[in-house]
Amino acid sequence: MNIKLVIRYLSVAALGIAFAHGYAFGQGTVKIGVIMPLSGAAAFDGQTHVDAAKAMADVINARGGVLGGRKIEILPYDDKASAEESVSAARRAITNDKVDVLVTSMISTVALATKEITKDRILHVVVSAQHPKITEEGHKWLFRINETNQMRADKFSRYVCEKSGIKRLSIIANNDDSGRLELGIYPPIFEKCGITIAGTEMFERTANDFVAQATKIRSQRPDAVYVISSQTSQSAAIWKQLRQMGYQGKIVAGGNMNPRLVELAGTASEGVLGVVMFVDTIDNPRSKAFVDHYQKTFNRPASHIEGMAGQAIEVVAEGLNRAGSATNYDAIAAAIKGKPVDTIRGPVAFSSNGQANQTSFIVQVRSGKLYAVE
Amino acid sequence: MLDIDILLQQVTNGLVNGIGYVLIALGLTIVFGVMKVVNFAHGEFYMLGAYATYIVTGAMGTNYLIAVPVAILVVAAIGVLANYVFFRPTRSQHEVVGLMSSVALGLILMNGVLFLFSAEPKTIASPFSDKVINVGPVFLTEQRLLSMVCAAFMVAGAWLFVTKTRLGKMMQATAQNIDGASLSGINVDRVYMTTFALGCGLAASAGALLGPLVSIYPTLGEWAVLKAFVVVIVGGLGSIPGAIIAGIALGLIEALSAGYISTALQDVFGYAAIIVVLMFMPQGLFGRRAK
Amino acid sequence: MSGSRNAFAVIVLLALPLLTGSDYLLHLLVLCVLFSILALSYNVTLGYIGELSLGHSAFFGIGAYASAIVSVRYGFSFWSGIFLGVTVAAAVGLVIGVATLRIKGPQFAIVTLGLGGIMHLVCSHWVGLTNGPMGITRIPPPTPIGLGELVVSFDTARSFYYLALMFLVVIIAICAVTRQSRLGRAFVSVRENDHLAASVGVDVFTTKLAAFVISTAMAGLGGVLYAHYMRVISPDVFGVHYVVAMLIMVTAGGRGTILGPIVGAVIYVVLLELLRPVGALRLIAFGVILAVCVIKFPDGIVGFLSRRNLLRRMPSRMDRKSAA
Repeated sequence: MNIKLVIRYLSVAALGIAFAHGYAFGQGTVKIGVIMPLSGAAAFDGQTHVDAAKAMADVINARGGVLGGRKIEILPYDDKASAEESVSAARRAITNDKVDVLVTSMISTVALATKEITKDRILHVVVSAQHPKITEEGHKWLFRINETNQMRADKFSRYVCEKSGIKRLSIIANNDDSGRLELGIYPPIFEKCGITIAGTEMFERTANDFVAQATKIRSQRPDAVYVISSQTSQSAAIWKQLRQMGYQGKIVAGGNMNPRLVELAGTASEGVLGVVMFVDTIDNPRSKAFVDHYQKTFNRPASHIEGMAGQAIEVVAEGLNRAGSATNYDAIAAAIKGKPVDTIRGPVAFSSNGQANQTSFIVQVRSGKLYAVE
Repeated sequence: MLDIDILLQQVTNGLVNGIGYVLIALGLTIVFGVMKVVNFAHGEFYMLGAYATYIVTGAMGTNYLIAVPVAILVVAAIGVLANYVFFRPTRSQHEVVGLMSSVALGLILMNGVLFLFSAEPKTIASPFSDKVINVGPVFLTEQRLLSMVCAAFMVAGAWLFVTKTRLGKMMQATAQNIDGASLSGINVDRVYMTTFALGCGLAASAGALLGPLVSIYPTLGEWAVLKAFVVVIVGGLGSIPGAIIAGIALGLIEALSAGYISTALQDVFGYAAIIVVLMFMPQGLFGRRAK
Repeated sequence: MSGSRNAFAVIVLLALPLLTGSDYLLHLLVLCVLFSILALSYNVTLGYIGELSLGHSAFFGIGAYASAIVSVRYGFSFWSGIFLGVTVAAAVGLVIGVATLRIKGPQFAIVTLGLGGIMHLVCSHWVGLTNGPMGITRIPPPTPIGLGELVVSFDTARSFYYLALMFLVVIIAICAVTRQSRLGRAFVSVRENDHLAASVGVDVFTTKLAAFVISTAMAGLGGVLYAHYMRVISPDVFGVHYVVAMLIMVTAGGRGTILGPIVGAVIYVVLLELLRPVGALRLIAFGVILAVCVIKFPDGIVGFLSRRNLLRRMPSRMDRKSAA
């Protein structure tokens, strides 16, 4: 075996692979990489992020694009709800596909890992992951659209304490990062305002039967059940099974709330209180344009996830326009933090660590539709 | 202070779930007992049963009670094809090869459904899924009651098939001694095909009956296959009575431990049960002693 | 493998990261090395003694968490983390091995699956120790090494690659030496026919236990490296996903060989990435390729090639069958 020949062959092959990956998309478009779970249990909500991002990109492109006529192009990547997949996808997006901006993450541990490699490399907008450390331990080009668990707790718990008339509460929570965080935050707040916690039940990510928890909750005789659940299908099952097991009190939903969930839960959704970051009844032209286009393209009403993902794209577009560049990240970051950005929810300001200063709407389901109550 | 109503409810919950577990696990234990194959894709056939029912009731607007047997037959047919492609060629290899083949099959089925139907959770249109009935202090939905009754019938049917029919006895013979069986003229290939179809059909029936209880989505099989494994191992690989007892026991243990100890650690009790049983009875409750 | 081929392979492996500046490709190289370590560890149980353990990711997780906890909370150095991760994984492996290795057949597989599942649940519920589902973040990169004036730090993919490669070489050496030794021959005899092995005086149980503990120690090492590279870990490292990955790498590559798991690891990492452009069909394509591989090459790719005498490897049952 001629060693020199083989070494040469291998080097060429390696270089070949390296170059093969370096194909560039058409010049002119601003490329936004969107990294979300597109397979596995979180796929539905992950795909919703991507759909909404595409819809917003369409709307902005129809209005003339960014930076004087350049169109926005959305490149989706599957993070499979895993930190290492997300990091691989981010690296590929940055190095190979040469994206200009990254918009990522529904899941906190994934966001925390991914932000470490976007540091000093690229503008990174985290959409819906809620862990406070994402912005607390973030970097100068990191932004986040959703409110943190703490921010949500402050607002929602005030409503529950002061306006809902609830005195005795049971909690049922998902054993994931969001669920655990909320379990740490809410019970102390509720107890401080005089609400008795009658019980705390948990379930796993893969569970789809909740009758044991529902029965236990019924025996605790609470006025209301606080459901901390992020997966649409699990939330629907919980609400339904609570009712099927004879529970008749209020249901309060933390975590994901969206029209599909309401549909799946059927009559069990009536009267459920929840929190969303976006409602499609907001009366402003940006919102209307987005909601209409989304409905036409995807045949669904725009809600919680769509609003946040749409805002992420809006914020990127506005930042780019103000800074006059797609790659001068210092300027773009300063532009976004400098003054509030106009979005489908109205003007949104960002703190110095990139956190969006906006909180959720409290909604209630009535006859199958979501109505903002505050 | 024991609230009798709640106790009865939890016991009922446990029984309903337990019979569901038996139905899910039955196919797996029969397939293992006869074919000696650990089918990691078993959960996906459960999921296919749910989706097939969804398609037949939804797209074709058929009545749910007719859709269920149709779905079962369709999935059993898919099982026959899967056996031919994935298990027949790997039969003579080390057990891990068949297992890997089933992993690949599972990946293809799950992602195939994800691709065709998207991840959006769907509901099976069963007229029984929402009506609640009260049996004394106990709450049951019609669907739960229906699934319990049908599952019991299917389990009994499978038991009769395996013990009383000619084909069933051939399956038993093959399970006990494959060389002896083929020497006495049994077409092992055909027995395997029937066994696998039966296994997939049973899994699909569980999907069709339990699917309407919650929404369905492509990763439904993940949950089902883990429960099935627990039941099969505790009951004894290849034993139908073992699966029945272990399945019901698992359902009851889960409901009662969740109800009276902690809901957080529900799954732990299932795993712990496997370990405790296997420490004392390594072949499971009814399994054959290892050589 | 012969000496000159070894030297050649080492040169290529050392040179690879210098051929590209792409952060993405360097990251893939690191993943290939990390997964090779994991695959080789699993191979000791599945390939050398023929036991199908379905809870192996637990040891990967134990290594990762042991090192992450001590380095983040108590400021221990990476090197102490390695020592701790390997030791704890091996200790837990010893306990579980003693408890389960007498169980035969598929029951062993499911018991290990159950034990793995329990450890996963413990990790995700024992919030005080592991931070539960929130995971452990900001794990430091391996401590820089000072060589006189020169300070070698490990916070980039390229530098981490060399560090991980060093550990991979150590693991390969351990596997190779074990294979040639009496213990290695005992492994083969136990794997092929444990009754026969017992009848010639091999202590089957102790042999299996030794292999199992070596295997779990290596997995623990893999976990430590993973934690300090990804810098974030969550209870998912205990999950079935990694067990399936290890199964795929070892069986598709070729169990019982040294090259096999490495080839399997590289294929696993590279194939998944190469398939990204396929978009939504990515995992279906992966499943199809895996199925074809498993059905056509039941002994793995390396097993297939060595059957054609292109490579030397450990003798197996297949040899006896074709000789007979």
